[in-house]
Amino acid sequence: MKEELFEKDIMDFVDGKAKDISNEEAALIGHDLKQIVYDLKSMPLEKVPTTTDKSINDFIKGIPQQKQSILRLNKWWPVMVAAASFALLILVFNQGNSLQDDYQILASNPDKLNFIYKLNEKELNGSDIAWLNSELKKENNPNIKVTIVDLLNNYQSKLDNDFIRQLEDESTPSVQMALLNTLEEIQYEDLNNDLWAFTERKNLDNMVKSKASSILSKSTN
Amino acid sequence: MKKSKLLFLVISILSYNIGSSQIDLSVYDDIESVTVTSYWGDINVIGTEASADRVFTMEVVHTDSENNAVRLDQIEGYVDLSVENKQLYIETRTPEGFESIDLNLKIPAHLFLDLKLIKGGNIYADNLKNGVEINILNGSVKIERIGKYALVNAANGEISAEFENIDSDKPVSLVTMNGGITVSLPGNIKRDVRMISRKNGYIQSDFPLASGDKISLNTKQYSKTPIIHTARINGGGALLFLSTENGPLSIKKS
Amino acid sequence: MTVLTDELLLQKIIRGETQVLGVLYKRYSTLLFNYFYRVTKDYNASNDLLMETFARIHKYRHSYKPSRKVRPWIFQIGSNLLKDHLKKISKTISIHESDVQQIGVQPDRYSEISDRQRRTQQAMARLKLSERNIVTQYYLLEMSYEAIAETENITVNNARIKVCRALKKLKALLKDIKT
Repeated sequence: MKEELFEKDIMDFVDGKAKDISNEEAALIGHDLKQIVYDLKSMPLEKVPTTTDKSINDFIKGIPQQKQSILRLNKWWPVMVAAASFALLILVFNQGNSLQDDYQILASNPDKLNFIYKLNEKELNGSDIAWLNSELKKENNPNIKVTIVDLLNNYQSKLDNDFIRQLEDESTPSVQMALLNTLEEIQYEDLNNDLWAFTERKNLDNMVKSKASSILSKSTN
Repeated sequence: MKKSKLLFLVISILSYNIGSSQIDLSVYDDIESVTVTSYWGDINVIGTEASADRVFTMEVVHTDSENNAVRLDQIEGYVDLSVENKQLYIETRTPEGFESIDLNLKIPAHLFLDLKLIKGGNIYADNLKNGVEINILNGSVKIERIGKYALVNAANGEISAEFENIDSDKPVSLVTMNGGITVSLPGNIKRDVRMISRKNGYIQSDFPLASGDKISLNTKQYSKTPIIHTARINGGGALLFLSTENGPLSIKKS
Repeated sequence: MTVLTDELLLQKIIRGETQVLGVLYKRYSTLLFNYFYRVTKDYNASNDLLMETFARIHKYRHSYKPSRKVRPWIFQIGSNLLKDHLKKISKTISIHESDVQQIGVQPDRYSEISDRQRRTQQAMARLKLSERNIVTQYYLLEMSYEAIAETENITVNNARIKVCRALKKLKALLKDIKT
């Protein structure tokens, strides 16, 4: 029993639960064991053989996919499944941004929306923002787009031409308005040319047009 | 739409009118979702329980540019129906002049609904248990007794949404550019709330909104400056996102 | 930075989104492979064990209890497989001095490790398989004593003692290995 308590004291020290050990003998052992554990932990890791990656890849492909509980299917579903699976596997077996990896596997709009909103709890870097810009361009659902713009609004100093150019392709008024609200606060020096072109667009919603014109008039005054 | 025309032939044979010009859609008994795409006109979608007599029907009303409204017995040329991957697509034709097509649908309550109104009209959906996604340009959206989740996006129109049995991990996102938003939620719901009202807004809430910011609640005074807040209901949970450019936000206990 | 937790990923796998298994594989394959390799010193066996671990994760996905963390659950599956493998080979295997250098990192990566680390891995090779296993569970997989206890079917206190004694044995072995 005494030996066990002695060893518990040692391991508490090795585990970092105790800062030091009062027993001198235990302290000596504890320091040596801590060094051994450190050496073991810091040994380089072997890479997993690529053949194993491929075998796992084949294994996953061989498992029949069950249908999703919430379907957002369209006529291109079989093609999309194949493309998404391929994209996923490319991502999984190559080192990449884990944010993108995680997002790629989300099949439904509610999951994607939750994911984007949760990013408010993270500190995003430049490549994350570039990725969000590309998602903003690709995404079809306007609610997800508005949530991305709301998130990117926190990183105004890191928004560049990619963000400004989102207006060019955007056709949903609520998303256009969300973009304009952020652009108004950025005060980007080359914004005016893009905004002039935008206000000339046909079928622009009156409220959106009025907002864009208001930003233009403020910047020219 | 070649495929849908072929399917229409099948539909013409299998579907028939039930009294008041209701098209029977019960042949689609194994689908999992309904996608409606329309241009002008009102759309009403009512979820029906499996025990109901007429579980799956559609009524189409065409109004021409002279404002003559006719309930259609034959929908060919006005509305296309097609099925792909257990998803029923209902698509109205591109408008000729100032015509509109109203759709009144009864669908099994367990089906997921994806609805897009490209030009304008009003949308009403009731008793859909598996979630809805709605996009509309001009017009209001009213949804009641909705389960699972909802994503609603409107340009010009107010949104009113009432939920029951909402999934604890699924978001609710109601976004309009011009109009107020009212949402009714079960009293025990846990949500992270993001509220944006850019102008002419106020926030009314039956729930205490825990927040790091100071929130002015239930004053009903229209603010000229943007109200942007993040808060929690009952300790927080999945997202409740409410955003309008112009109008108030109201969160009620159902 | 990652947002999707292991628990959420496993829930997706349970719901039938099997492609998500690839994401878990990406997260845990390197650790598990090194765990198997450092204990068995057998490259091919480590490959097979890694494959089998993920096959079992999928096979037994419904037995996962949502109240548990996924990481120890996966490591437990891997540890159990390794334990079975060690049982099979324990009667035939004997560690010779020539094998010793193969344990730990591959010889062509020796330049990446210090002399003390090289000696430590040589000492590791002289531990009994069961001791090497428990030490590797401890330092590489960072399994808690509770998780080790569950895998080894011993008490938590016993797990701590076993780790401590294996490490003390390593310390003693190190003295015998010349620099």
